[in-house]
Amino acid sequence: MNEEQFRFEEPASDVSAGPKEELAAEHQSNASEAAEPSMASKWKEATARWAKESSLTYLSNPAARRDFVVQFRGNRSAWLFGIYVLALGVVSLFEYYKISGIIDPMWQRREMETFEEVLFVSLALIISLVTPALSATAILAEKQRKSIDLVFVAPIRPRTYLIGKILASYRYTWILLALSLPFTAMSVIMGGASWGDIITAYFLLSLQGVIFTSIGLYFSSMVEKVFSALIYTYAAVIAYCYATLLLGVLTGTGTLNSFWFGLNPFSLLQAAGSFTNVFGVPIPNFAIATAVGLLMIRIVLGAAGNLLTAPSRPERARLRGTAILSFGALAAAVASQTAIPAYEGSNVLSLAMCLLLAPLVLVVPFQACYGLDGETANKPNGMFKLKGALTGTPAGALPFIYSIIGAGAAGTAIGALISQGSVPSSLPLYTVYMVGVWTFVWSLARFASSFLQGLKASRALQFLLTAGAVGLPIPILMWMDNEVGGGMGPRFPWSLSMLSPLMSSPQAQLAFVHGLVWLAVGGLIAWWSETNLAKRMNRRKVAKMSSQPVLAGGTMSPLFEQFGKRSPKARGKNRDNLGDLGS
Amino acid sequence: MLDVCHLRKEYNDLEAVKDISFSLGPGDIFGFIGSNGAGKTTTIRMIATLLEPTAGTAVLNGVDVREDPMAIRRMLGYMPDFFGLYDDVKVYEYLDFFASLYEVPARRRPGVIHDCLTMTNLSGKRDAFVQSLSRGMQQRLCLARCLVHDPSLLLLDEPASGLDPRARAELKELILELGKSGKIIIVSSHILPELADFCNTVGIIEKGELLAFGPVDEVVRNHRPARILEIKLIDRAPGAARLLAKMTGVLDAQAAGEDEVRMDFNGDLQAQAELVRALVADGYQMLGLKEDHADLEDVFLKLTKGAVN
Repeated sequence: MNEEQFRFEEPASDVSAGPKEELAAEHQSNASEAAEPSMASKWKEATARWAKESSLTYLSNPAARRDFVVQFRGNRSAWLFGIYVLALGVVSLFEYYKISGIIDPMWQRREMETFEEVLFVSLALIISLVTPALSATAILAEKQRKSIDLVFVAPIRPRTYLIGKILASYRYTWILLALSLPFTAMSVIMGGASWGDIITAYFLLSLQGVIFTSIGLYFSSMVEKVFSALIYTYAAVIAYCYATLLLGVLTGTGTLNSFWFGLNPFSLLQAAGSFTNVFGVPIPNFAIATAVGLLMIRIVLGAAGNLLTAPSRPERARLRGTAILSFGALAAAVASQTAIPAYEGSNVLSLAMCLLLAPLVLVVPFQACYGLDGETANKPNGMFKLKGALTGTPAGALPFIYSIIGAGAAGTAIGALISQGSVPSSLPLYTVYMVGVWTFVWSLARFASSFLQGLKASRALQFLLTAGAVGLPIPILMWMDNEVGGGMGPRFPWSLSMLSPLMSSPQAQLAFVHGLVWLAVGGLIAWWSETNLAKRMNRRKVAKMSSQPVLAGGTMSPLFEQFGKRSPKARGKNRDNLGDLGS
Repeated sequence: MLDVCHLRKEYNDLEAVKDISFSLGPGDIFGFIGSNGAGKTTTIRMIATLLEPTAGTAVLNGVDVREDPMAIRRMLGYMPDFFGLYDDVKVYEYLDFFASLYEVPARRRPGVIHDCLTMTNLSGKRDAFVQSLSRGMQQRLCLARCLVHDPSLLLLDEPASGLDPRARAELKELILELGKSGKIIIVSSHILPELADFCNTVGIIEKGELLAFGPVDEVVRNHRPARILEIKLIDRAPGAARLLAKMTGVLDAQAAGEDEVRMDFNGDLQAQAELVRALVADGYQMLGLKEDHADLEDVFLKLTKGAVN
C-alpha cells in the first residue's frame, strides 16, 4: 500500500485539500473578494447551498439511511409487522361478523361507522405506543455507545441529524399505516366512510407519528437512561393527548369541531370532514391542525437540537431564534382559531396564551438552574444579559423566557386580530401576569442554583420549590375560606392563589395585580440568590487560590477542621505537608 | 499546519488543561504522552471541537476551532479511545454512513471506501458485520472511518490500547504511512517505547501542563544532558567510585555493590578514555564499560510524578 493508493482523485472540499491547494484556494478566494461578487452570483450561491443542505437533510439524510437499513435487518421487523397485521385482521373479522348479521340498513351503517372508529382508535393506539418507543431511545442509544461523538465530530448539524432520525421513524410509522390500508378500505367498500375521510385521517395519523417522534427525540437528547427516556416520553404523549382533547372540547361547539381534534390521534376522525371559518372562508381543520402540528414539531426539535449543541455555538443561537419565532407563530395560529369562545365574556384568548406557556415549567430548570458547579463553569455570568438569550448562559435565561412570553403575546394579538378584529383588552394584563409568574419560577431556579452544588440536586430543589409554591398554599387557603369566608361569599382567600387568575371566573385585573406581586417577589429572591451566588463563588475562588480545603458550602471539611483552629503560619505548614490531598 | 495557542479547560474547580501551546506541521507524528487523567483526551477533544475551551484556541490550516468548527470538522479525523460501533451494520455500510456524513459525493463513495479498506487491510471484511470483527480489526475500521474524507489532521486517542502485539505493529505501520502522506497526526498513548518508534515529535503532559515538547531526540537530550556510564570491575567498586568522582567530566559516581560503578558523565571521548586509564593505573581490575542510553521512558519518569487531575 502506498500513499498514492489512498489519495482521492480530487479533494473532498477546499478545506480538506493539502497545503498547496489551500494556498491556491485562498488566492482564489482573495481574488474573488477583490472582484466583489454580484448580487446575482451571491443569490445563486445561497440557493445552491440551500439546495445542497435540503437534499442532505431530506433526501439523502445519512442518519435516516443508516437507521432504515438497521430497522429492516433480520426477521424482527417481519415478525412484528406480521403480528400487527394479524391483530388488525382479528379486530376486523370480529367487527365484520358483528355487522354481517344485521339486516336493518340504518343500524348496519351505524355499525360500519363504529367499525371505522374502532379501526382508527386501534391505529392511534399503535402509533401512540410504537413511535415514542422508536424515538425515545434513538439518541440515547448513540449516547450510550458513544457513537454520538463520532457523528458530531463530522460536519453535520444537530438539526439535520434529528430530521434523519425523524425520517427513519416516520418511514416505519408509514409502513404500519400502509399495512392497515386493506382493513380500513373495508369500511369504505362497505359504506362506513368515504375515501376522503380515510386519506385525511391517515395524513393526520402520520402527523401524530411525527409529533410523537419529535417528543421522543427531545427526551432522548435530554436524559441519560433508557427507562427515564421512555417514562418521560410516554408521560408527555399522554399529557399531549389529554391537552389536545381538552382544548378541542373547550374551543369547539356543537356544530363546528375544533382543529384541536385533528391534533389528537384518538379524535382525528372528527376533524376529517370539519372546517373552521377564517374571515368567512371555511378552512379545513386538518390543514390548520397540520400547520399547528408542524410548528409544534419545529419547536420541540429546536429544543432537542439545543440540548445537543454546545453553548455559544451559532447553531444554538439559530435554534433558539427559530424556537422563539415558531412559538409566536403557534400562538397566532391557536388564537386565530379560537374564534368561538366556550362561554360568553371569557378571556379565552389570554387564557389560551397562558396555557401555551405552561410547558415552560420543563424549560426553566434547564435554562436557569445549574448548581454551584455549573455556575462556576460559566463564571459569574450576571442576572440579565440580552445576548445570552440565544447562547444559553445563566444570564440569558430570563431574556429567553421573556422572549418566549413576548412572542406568545404578540402571536396571540395577531391571531386575535385575525379572528376577532381586535386585540382583547385582557391580553396586556395577562402578559404582565405571565411575566410575573415566570420571573418568580425563574427566581426559584436561581435560588436553587445558588444554594446547592450539583446540577441534579439543584434542579430537583427548583422543582420542589415550584410545586410547593403552587400547591402548599392550598390547605391554608381552604382553612381561610372556612374561617373568613365561611365557605360562601366572595371567596376572597382563593384570589391569593398564584393560579387564581386562571380559575373558573378569570379576572384580568386580578391577573395584573398577581403579575406585579410575583414580579416583585421573584426580583427579591433573584437579587438575594445572585448576591449569595457571587459570595460563594468568590469564596471558592479564594479557597482555590490559597489551596485551602474549603467545601462549596463555605464550611470546612471535618478532615481539615483542625487546621482552621491554628495560626495561619501553622496552617500553611500543615498545608504544605498535605501535598496533592490539600489541593 | 496546526497551532495550539494557550489552550485551557476548566471544569468547576479543576483545571484539566493549563495553557497548552504547540505547533505541528504536515507530516508530523506527535506523541502525546501522559498518565491517565493527565489531560491528553481533554486537549484532543478540544481540538476535535467536541469540547469548548475555557480559554485559548487551536488553529488548523488558518481556521479557528472556536470560530468555524464545521470547517475544522471537515479537516480532521478523530479516533477516540472507544470504538463507538453500531450493531447490525456491515463494514461497508458503516464507512458509507460516515462518508455521507462528511459529504463525500455518492458517486465517489465506493472508490473512497475501497481505498480506505485496502489501506487498513480490511478489504476481505467488506461485508462482515462490525460486531463480528476482532478488536484489532475494529480498531483498523475506526481508523478507516477517520480517513474517508482524507483529513489533514488525525487525532488518535490511545489507538493501541487493548491490541495484541501483531495488531499494534500493523497499526504502527499504518500511522507511519499516513504521516508520510503529509497528514498531521496526534497520537496519545502511555505505551512509550511504541511512541518513540514512530513519532517524530513528542509532548509530555501532567496535570494538564505540557512539561516538554519537541523532537524525540531533542526532548531526551534536553532532559538527560549527562550520559550514564556503567563500569564493571572484579571488586573494590566503592574505591573506584571515589576516584572517578574527582575526575574531569564526572558529575556523580556511585558504587552499585562491590563490582559496579554508575556515573553521570558529560565529558568527551578523550575524557572517557582517561577514566579507563586512571582506573587501570590505580590497580583496579576492570571488566568493561558501557553506556546506558536514555530513552523517552526515562525522561517521562524523570519529568512526571504520577500526579493526575
